[in-house]
Amino acid sequence: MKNMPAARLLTGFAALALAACQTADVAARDAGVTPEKSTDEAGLWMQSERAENEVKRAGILIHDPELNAYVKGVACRVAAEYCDEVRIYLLESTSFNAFMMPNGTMAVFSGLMLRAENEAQLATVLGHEVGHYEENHSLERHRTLKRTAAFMIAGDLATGGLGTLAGILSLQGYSREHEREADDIGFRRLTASGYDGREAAKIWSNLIAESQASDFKRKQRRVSRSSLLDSHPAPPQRVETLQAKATAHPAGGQTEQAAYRAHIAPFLDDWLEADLQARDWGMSLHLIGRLKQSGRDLGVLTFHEAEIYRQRRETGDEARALAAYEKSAAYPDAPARVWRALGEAYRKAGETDKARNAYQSYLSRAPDAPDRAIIERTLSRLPEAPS
Amino acid sequence: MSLRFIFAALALLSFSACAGSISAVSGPVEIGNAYTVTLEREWNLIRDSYDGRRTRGDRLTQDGPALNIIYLVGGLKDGQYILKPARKEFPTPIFRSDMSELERIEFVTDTLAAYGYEQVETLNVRPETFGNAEGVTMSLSAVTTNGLRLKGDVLMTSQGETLNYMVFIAPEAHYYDAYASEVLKIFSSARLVE
Repeated sequence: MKNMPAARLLTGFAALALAACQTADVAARDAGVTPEKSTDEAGLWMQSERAENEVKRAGILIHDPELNAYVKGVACRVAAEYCDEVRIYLLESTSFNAFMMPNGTMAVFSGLMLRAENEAQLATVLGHEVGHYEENHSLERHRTLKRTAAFMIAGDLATGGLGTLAGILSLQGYSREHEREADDIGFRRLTASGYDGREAAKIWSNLIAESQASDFKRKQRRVSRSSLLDSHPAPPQRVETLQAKATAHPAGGQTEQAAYRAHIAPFLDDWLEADLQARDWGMSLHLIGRLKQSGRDLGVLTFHEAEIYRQRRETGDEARALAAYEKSAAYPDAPARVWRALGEAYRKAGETDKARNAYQSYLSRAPDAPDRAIIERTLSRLPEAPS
Repeated sequence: MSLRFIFAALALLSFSACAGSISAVSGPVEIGNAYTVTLEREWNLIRDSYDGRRTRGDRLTQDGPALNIIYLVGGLKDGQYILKPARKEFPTPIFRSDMSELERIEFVTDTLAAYGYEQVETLNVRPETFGNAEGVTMSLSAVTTNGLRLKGDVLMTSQGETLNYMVFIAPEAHYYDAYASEVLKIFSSARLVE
């Protein structure tokens, strides 16, 4: 792989993409049925099982049983007949993504859970992935590719020491028809399971708006942090289609926002910290601003807003950061790191007493803080207040 | 699922890949005209690039970068990064000379994340000397995308407006323990260039 010229790699994937435009129709899958051993579908399942083992070992796997059970519950609500055969894996990754393999393995990324505003929006994506699964799109794509020279190139790449997961994922570059079909099925499942159909278009339009807020032109031109929306049809068309479906559907349904936000609240701090690592301050500020609109988790959200200003370092950001840290500290869910950051900000501003109080407050709120010794050294060096 | 995701998956799977000029070194080695460390036996020194991306600083390894690696950075100046961004829209951390001590620690760990280490966490951050200068040391934990658990140590100091640091990182199973005491001796051998 290391010696593979980039041009060959791109040619391989371009050929793969072209081949995806042709489809070989396969019947929809029945729940609980495993393929005959002699079939090509069984081969695909075997690859999926190997890929699933890679996912199980992934360092980014989220093990929390409560969150896993919750997401599995949402998947079962939109796909009750497949509930027993769907295995959910939550992965800590900033990408807005989810995928489902032919053997029932479903991976859901934290970047998606962070961006969904409620359970209905999460269910929209899970329903879409179940749509691909129900209609056996991976098998259709496998058969289509098998007939082309592109498959040979893709196979060569996928078996060149890159892991089974990369190979199996190469089968998921779905065609326009597949994506449209999965959207249709996803919407039908969403509304049939009692969720508000209007949320289907919202999750995609939110993602488009977030990309447009990017600091980088290239990201503004495409939908960033998403693999799901990179596929055809174009994102705005998808939003329009889903909006039209929602308009035609009787109004009502649940969003389950309170339950959703309660389940993701314990992870919000870590997920936002990871999101900030992308250093696209425009996108992260847009995301935080949108999440704040619900009025929930304001301590954590405002803390990360302050962190963006501190790290962005534009004119006026120092004052913006300090104001946001102070605001965050007033909310009950503010992380202890707020007081450390306040100590730093006050010290920089020459407000020694406030800095001392903030550092001390940090140490009392986080008695096992990993940086206690450094903070104590900083405290010992703060000038005494004039008597 | 898009082709872009496939590219990302391939990038993750090739995480341990590494390139750059490699030479065997022992004895005193100068890092960025800022400090020297003394190696009691031969180590493989990797310079110049990481997966084709320009880097600042040097890397030492015995058994390959995925099994044990020491990142050595010396004389890092305001506005410099360690790892050149693969593309403009994927920026990597930039060092600023007015960063506080905590921000410098954050810079070191964020740079490790930019290299592809996941869930980088600092433990037991405490004062320590770097050569004759005041510095900070800490332990690290991280994981690779394929689930390998890693441990490490950091020693860092500021010299005027520049930053010097050393990071050792290796798999928790066998490799960290096998090299930790030797690496700590290397850390202790650091001498700032006057």
